[in-house]
Amino acid sequence: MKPVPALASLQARFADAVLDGGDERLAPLLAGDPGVNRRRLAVYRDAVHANRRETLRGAFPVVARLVGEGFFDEATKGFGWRSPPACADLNRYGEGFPAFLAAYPHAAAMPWLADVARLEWAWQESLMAADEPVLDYAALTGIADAEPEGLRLRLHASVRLVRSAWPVLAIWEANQPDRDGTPAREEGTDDVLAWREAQRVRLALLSPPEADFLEGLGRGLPLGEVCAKMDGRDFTGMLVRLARHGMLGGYSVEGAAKA
Amino acid sequence: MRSKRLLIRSALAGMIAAGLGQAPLAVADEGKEKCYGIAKAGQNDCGTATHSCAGLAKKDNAQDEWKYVPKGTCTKLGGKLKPPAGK
Repeated sequence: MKPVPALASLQARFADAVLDGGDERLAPLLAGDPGVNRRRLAVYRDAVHANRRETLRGAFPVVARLVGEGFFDEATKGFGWRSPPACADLNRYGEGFPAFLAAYPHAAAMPWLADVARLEWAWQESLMAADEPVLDYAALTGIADAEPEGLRLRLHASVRLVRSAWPVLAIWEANQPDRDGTPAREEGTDDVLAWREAQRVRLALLSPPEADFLEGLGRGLPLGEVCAKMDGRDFTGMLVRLARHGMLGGYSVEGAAKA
Repeated sequence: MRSKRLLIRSALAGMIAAGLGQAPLAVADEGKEKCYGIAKAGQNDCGTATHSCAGLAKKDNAQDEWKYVPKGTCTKLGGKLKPPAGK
């Protein structure tokens, strides 16, 4: 009779076999035909992979559509063995997928693919970002008058910026379920803003100065510095736009922070 | 710089006016139908969970080269998208 290991040890060996493919430590403990055992184990392994693949399809539907079924299956398998989910909430799984695609040799002919994935992940992060109240505009009134240059505006938790050397927004739009995949534009270096409003994620194309401005805000620069990135009218328009769409979450002035 | 201060001040006035106008709406939306709003279109809680039988018939570790050839809509993009200027 084979010695029976403790349950925890048995479970660990089973998890190893299912998660990274090595069944050397488990196989000696299994009764019956090794070939049959291996096939049975493969069912579990495949179920794990299928769960990850479908999770990633939920977060990256445009990438999945762009590359097709077989490619997506292989790419998500490669990514999954290398970067298994680190969090039990599968909505958080896939952060590293754009970087994986950027280095994936089989995607070399699609240099824009990783940026499309970055946009989709920004969408996902925006959707999953914590709820938070918008900036307290009434409290800001006095401060705005006294010390406007030193004021730092903080973007709402759901705001993301994706800057690409490719027309990623056109590609993304062309691959929504009701479109045939042909982008309206074939050129462009898209700077895309993502934010959540009324529980839906919105995307908008920004001009390069607008994107520079937003990047500056995101880095915590005071208005006295970021305002130089745009001309006066655009600067006002951008601040109004951010306020109107709930994209500001708080502010701080030298020394004292508010939200 | 005086003109800069004026510019920022007037921009902030516009921003605050817009923000005060929008704030009640944004608050009203919070917490409403969270369960529906938080899922992507066509994807509910069950959407990401695959039944454990899903992989039953498939063999693992099949390294089929054909799988690496994209067969999706990117074929429509092939040759159309130009590399960005200056690259």
